[in-house]
Amino acid sequence: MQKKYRTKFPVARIKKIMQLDEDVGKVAQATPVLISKALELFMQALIDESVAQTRAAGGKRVHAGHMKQAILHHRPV
Amino acid sequence: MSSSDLAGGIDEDLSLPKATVTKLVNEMLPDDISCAKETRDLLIDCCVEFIHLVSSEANEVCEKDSRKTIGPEHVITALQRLGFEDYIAEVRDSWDEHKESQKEREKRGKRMEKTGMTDEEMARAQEEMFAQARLRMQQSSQPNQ
Repeated sequence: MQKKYRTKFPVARIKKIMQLDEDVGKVAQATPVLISKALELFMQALIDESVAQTRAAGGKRVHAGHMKQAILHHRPV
Repeated sequence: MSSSDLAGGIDEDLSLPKATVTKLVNEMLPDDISCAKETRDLLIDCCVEFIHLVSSEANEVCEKDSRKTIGPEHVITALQRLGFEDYIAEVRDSWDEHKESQKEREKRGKRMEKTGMTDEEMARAQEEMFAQARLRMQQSSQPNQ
């Protein structure tokens, strides 16, 4: 089930992005691994909802506007 | 004069690598749908924002915990607090997997045993490889003579 996506985010890059925030200090070695997984799930959710907008518009290509609509229509729990 | 030459120089546009994101997006999209470049760039911005959001929340959790290092459990609490509790089970799985692979790495560092072969099997495999190499050498040197 883990082999769903073959591509992974580079963990070192994620750590660097985290530490762009000056408030963020030391980060444990495993921490970016968890962030990476959460990010993957977030990305999939955003893509799924954008694709729904693309299909609703009768399109085959996801445009920025579809993603905007997806975000505007998202109902937080 | 590129700032990336300087050690510790903060790159303004430190972001996720486009090639990696493009690959991942294509794996995530249905087969009949494609993605505009502009959408991908927007998605990257959203991803960077997500990283900042979660790490900032995790940092707060960490401070409340009076710790100096943001640990995995702080990330899990942060996801909970931000309303991403749906992600927690899978995130925990990948944490377990990571711990498992770290253990494997340690073992491998200590001994070669994890090949799943006994010493005799390894010796035999080595002998076979020598024999093959010898044969290859003989074959390649024959036409020359």
